[in-house]
Amino acid sequence: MPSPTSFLPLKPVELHLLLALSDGDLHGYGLTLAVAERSDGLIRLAPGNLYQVLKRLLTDGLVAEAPRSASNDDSRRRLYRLTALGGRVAAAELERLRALTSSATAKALQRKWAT
Amino acid sequence: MIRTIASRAACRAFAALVRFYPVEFRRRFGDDMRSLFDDQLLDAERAGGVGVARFLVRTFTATVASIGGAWWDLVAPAHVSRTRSRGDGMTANIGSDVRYAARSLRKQPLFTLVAIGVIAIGTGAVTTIASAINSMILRPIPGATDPDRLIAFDRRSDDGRQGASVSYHLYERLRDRSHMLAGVAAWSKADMTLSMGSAGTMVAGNVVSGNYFSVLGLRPAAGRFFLREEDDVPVAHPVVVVSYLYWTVNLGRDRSAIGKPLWVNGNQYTLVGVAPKGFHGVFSPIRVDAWAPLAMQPWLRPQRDLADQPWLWTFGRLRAGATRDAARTELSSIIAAHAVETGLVREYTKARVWTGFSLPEDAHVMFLSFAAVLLGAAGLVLVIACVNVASMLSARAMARRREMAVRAALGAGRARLVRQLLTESVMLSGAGAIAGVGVAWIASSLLESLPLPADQSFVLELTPDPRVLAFAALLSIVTGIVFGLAPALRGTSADVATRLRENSAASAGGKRRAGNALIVAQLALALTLLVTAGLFARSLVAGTSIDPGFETAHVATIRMNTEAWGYTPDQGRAFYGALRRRVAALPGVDAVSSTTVVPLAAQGSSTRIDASAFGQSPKFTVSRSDIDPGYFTVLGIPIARGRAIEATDDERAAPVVVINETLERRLTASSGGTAVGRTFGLGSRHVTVVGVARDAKYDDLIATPPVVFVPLAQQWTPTQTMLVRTKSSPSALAPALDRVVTEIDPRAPHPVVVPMDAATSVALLPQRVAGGFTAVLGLIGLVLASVGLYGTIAYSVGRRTREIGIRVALGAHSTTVLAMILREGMLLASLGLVIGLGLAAAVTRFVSSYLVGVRALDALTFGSMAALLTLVALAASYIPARRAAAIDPVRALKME
Repeated sequence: MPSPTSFLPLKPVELHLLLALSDGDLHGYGLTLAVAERSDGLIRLAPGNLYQVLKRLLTDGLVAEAPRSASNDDSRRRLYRLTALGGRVAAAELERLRALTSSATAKALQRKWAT
Repeated sequence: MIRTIASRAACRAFAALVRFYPVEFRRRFGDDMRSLFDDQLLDAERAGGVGVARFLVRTFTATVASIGGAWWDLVAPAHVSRTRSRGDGMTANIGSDVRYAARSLRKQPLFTLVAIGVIAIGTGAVTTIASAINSMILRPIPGATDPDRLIAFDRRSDDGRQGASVSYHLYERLRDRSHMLAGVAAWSKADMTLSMGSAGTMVAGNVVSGNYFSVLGLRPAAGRFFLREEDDVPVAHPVVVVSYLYWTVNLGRDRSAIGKPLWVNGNQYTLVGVAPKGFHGVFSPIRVDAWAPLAMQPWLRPQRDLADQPWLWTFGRLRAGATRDAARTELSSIIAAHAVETGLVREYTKARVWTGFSLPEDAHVMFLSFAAVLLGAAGLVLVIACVNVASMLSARAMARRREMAVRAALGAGRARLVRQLLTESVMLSGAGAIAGVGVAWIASSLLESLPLPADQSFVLELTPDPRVLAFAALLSIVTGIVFGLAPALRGTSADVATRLRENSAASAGGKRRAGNALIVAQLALALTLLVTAGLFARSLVAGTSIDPGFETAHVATIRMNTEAWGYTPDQGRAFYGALRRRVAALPGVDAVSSTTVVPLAAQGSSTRIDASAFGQSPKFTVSRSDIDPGYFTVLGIPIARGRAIEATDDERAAPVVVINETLERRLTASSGGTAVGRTFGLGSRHVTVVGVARDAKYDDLIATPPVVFVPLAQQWTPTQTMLVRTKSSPSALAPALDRVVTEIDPRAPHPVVVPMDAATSVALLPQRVAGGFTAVLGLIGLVLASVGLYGTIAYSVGRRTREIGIRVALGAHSTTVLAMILREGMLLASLGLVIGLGLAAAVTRFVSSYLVGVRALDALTFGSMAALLTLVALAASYIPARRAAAIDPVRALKME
């Protein structure tokens, strides 16, 4: 398995999608809702953009298609699931961001400029 | 919740957009994307109209960008997965070129939008016509397997001029003896009235050989196609297949309808299957909705012995390894052997073979030559658009000479810089082409919704398909390189040092000359288009004022085919007789008659007559109309000599005809005198001329052919058009007529009333279409060219501000300045005018065969269009000229 850090840095949208999937399997519409909510409406994904990012995550093996379950309310739609690799990559990215945000310089900047 | 029309349209537009994604991406995510869009649209609708508008703009722009991204991922897969290598230097360079180009285009959104819009208009115009040609000629039969191996064929005479279809016996022989063809199928037309028990629907139908669908390689959308035994024994198996469209519209896509009875022309059949979606027979423009086996022919077209009559059209599938030429040779020898052995129709000894199933080959030529005119006009607009964008790009390249010089100084080679600029222009034209396909999409749906005045339904499937999209893509790359190359080369010329020293005010004179040449070219091309449009417009006016020799106002036409209702000839005669009596008694009806041919409605038919009794060349071809008494009264055609057809000219009386003056002149050319009272051969009979009618137009507005009028009562035919002269509007007759028909036979289909002037307007259809199309294109060309002229003059005024300031300071009057700038503009305009007039004179020759009542070099059209161009050019240069005249010398001299 490739090292999780070789995928870093993730694009913000990618991280958002991985985070959204960490709560459970979602289909496309669910993903856009979760991402919009998590980003305070800042990231609104058009269908094309969503599936282009998803395709990349699928190719890299960070996300996989979930088997269609009977409980699925709409069997036409595909569900997506976070893979173990995806979870590790997301964790690595969060760790990277944490290191970044907790640096002394970052804190000094925030004190000076944050509103 | 009931979705509004707007949101359904939005969903359809999105679905259309999704088709631009690469195939693999679309297959994988297309459905999901569409349903996601649907959900998001529902959310947006909750936020009201503004929310929807904002959502649509955002989503559609994001989607267009993402389509570009998805294609880019295909071209440069390295970029898709970050764990793989970054690719070689070349692709990395292209990648950075694209990113750089995108950034630099984004920085000037107005320029980018205008350029994309201009290219979109040009490529859209060309793509619309290309897609019409594609759908009429190139598009393979929907659903057919391996359509390249299908060939159609018929019989030809030795010199190839005369052709004929195939008899049933000949069809059997061809089917059984051909080794080059894996299967030979046959079909013929039959009007059908389909009904589930109540009033029927009239559709175009086909009787087909049992292997028709299997030779085409079609799969049924539901049920099955014909079995072998269903085409063996006459009328033993009444089965029918309907089109997907009929199944959807009339049967609600109900699978249980299959195996149930369906009445065809009053006889009970079993519906066995549904043809695949989009399939409407092998002559695609005419929409066929039902198919029955050839063995059902006695029910569908009774009273005809068809074993040796030519009535079948044939096609086959080439065996693996067989070529068209080998098939032609083999078919020719079978046809020739048949002619010798049977002694029937000896003149046809050859086979003519063609591929492509949409139109028979002779119709190809007619359609293509008309389409070529339209394509030429659209091509002119594309050239104007390209020239326009080229002049914008070269202005931009000039403005960026310093930027290029800096990049060159930092080590960029010229080739690299040119590639950079070309990337920008190809991106522009690519975006323009995508928008152009959108324009074509809209234009095509407008074309599809044009009401075609014809009695057959047409399949006009103009939606651009992959072939057209590929064409648009190619067009965009070529135009991008063509209009981008010259500015790119010039923008990067000269050595670095010169360019770095140069400042913007002192740009080279060469640029201006080149820019001026581009403006002159645009003006000239726009004038060419305008003149063409003007000629078509004059043709329309002249065409509508040509006296056709009969009166079309206040005449209603109703076309009916009693055979398609399952009537025998006797029942048909009785029906038409009863209908005529009752319609004549309706209030507001002046006169009633019937005919087989409505003149000028593209229905013409011809026959050969034997005029040896007149001492003329024994046989020649004349146009023919079969008519009822009263025909000449209803249409207001005077009888010049003798009498008209009368009620006494029935099947018991001696056979008579009325001829027109042209035919009389032709018959009596050597003998002189009148033709009234004399006889000639018509088919197997000898007919006596009882009258001569004044000449009237028949097929087209240009010439009057010789016409023979035969009494319907002496020559039964089940397909007739009733002509009714009314006091008020002809369409007001419809309800009363419908009632009368239902009274006579409740099962008869509802009659369709077409006013005669609408029916005859088809005679000017080419002029109408070409006139409308070239007028729109001409106006677009004029706007583009005049905006270009305005831009050039304004640019020149801006550059000469200082010079003008000095002139004014030295005492030049503001009117002198105004005149000076106007002169500059008018010089360009007059150059464009002279070249444009020359070009138009050379080009209008190609449209002369479509002109009615106006010559290709019509002075009035040329003059008025030249005047229009001059006026517009004057206006375009007046605005910057006024600005120049108002220059304040003090401020101008302080500049720089």
